[in-house]
Amino acid sequence: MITSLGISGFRGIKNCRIDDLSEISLFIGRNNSGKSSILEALYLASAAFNETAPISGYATKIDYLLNRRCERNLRWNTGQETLWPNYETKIPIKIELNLNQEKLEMSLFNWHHHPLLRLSTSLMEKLASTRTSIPILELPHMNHVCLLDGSLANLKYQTFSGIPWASLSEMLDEDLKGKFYQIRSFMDGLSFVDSSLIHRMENVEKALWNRLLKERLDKLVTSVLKQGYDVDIEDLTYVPSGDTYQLAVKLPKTTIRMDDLGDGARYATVLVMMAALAKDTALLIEEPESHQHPGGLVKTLNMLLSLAKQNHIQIFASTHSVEFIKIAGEIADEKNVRVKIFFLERDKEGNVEARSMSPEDASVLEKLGLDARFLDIM
Amino acid sequence: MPFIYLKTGKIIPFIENEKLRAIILCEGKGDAEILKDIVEKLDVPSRGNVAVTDCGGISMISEMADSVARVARISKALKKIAVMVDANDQTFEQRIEAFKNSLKDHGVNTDYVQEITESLHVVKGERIDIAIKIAGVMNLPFAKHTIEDHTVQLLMLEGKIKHGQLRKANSAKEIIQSKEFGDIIGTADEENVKRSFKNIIELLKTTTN
Repeated sequence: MITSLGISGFRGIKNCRIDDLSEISLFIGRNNSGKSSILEALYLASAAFNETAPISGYATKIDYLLNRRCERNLRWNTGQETLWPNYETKIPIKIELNLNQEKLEMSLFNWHHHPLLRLSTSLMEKLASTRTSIPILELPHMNHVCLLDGSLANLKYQTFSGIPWASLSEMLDEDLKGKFYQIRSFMDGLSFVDSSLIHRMENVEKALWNRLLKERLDKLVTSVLKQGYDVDIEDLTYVPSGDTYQLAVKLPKTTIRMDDLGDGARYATVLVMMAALAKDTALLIEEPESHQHPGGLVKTLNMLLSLAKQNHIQIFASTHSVEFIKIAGEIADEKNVRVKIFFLERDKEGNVEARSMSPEDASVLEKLGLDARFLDIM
Repeated sequence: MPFIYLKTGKIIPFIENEKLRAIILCEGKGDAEILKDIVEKLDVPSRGNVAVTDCGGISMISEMADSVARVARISKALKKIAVMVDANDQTFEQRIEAFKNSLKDHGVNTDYVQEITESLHVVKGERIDIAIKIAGVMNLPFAKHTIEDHTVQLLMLEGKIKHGQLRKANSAKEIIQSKEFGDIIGTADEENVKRSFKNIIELLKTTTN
């Protein structure tokens, strides 16, 4: 589990530090307070361990982040500056995480296309002495390694080369290897979910459906659609669509394509599918309340939190909804899952401060007539 | 807009993004309304925005102290939290002591306390002060003392009820509720309001300065 995070120089965030993250961490605050940027920073950090983003429809996580807010077909070479504050790319983006009691530091430099992991000097020395043939980044005070294979031909610093994970893992002693394996696995599985995915159901189906069906986890989707969205669903199936097939819902008298369900039902389907297949990792969810009637939201959240508990999934979500906070707090309480709410405030310089509170705190504020989303006034 | 009344169902006051300097928590809606009447009658000035709200009729000291402790912990801009509690069947001293102990149970440091009056103490904190005001007029012949005691006192000063009538009632609430006095504070003489609500005005001064 990620217990704390630090971000510097990413999007609109100059500096941000959040401690005591929980099994479920909800980010609230005014527009432009940094909620989405924090989710994106976590996703960016995960790119150091696995750069692919199959569900998003983009080749890499970086490409997805470059286009997530506005699809302009940006690529690393044409739009990298959008990831930096004020488009100033000289200072590397830094993300620091405490994960499984291990401090991880990642940096994204303007001359490299995905984040590099910073290792301790002693570990770097060990690496250098063990495999002297493997070049490492030879910049003063920068003990970074690239965990991923990739084309490094155009790198500014030719002395630096990627170290495939397997090679790095081999070089670490057993204890560290075990811990690093867990960290890598956690970060590797980290996924970003937002409501734009409901317009990319084809990607979702391609990436997840076979795995879901194999373990018959499709029943979970059926159950949520039936209970929360008033869909008289009997089963899920595939129907021809042009020269391909697409996911469809079997109703008593007809079959309709998943694409033709309402937005809320499709977002719930995506959330449940992703949570059903995730294990020992984290889900980053932007505005889970999007398109949701409270009735559907309760059923979806119920399923989501059950899966989160069962599959050890840490959830980070941004929200503008007091209703969502309340429902999440109540369901989490029933399931004995810890929830923390972080109210974010960004000053003019871009420093983001987080105030933490429990769902009970938010409930007390509400009873007093104070809205947790306006915490900046007090 | 120095005084902001919460629980009006309006969201606009929050949109303005003006920081609150203080918040006053009353036990129930009626207590907050009396406070509002006093503020309007006397045109009480304030150095900053002060929110006035109620705890939904909670009379349990522990629950109110819990609310105060949570607000104190979460807030950043607030300089003062004031809480107004009825004395009920306790003395001012007993009630204040009970509240302080409850605050302590909820993690508030109560080592430094300033006694403003017998019924108004301020727990001094590094970042935020918590004023505890106990409402009630002890020399009125009621078994339980509440904020309505002050209103009864005002009615007596205004000549609208006589002392002898008080003996028939168990509490000031009975007197206030049994008769239609209309806008008691709004129509009363300003000096009489100042005299009968002296201690509550002291709380407002302490909170707004």
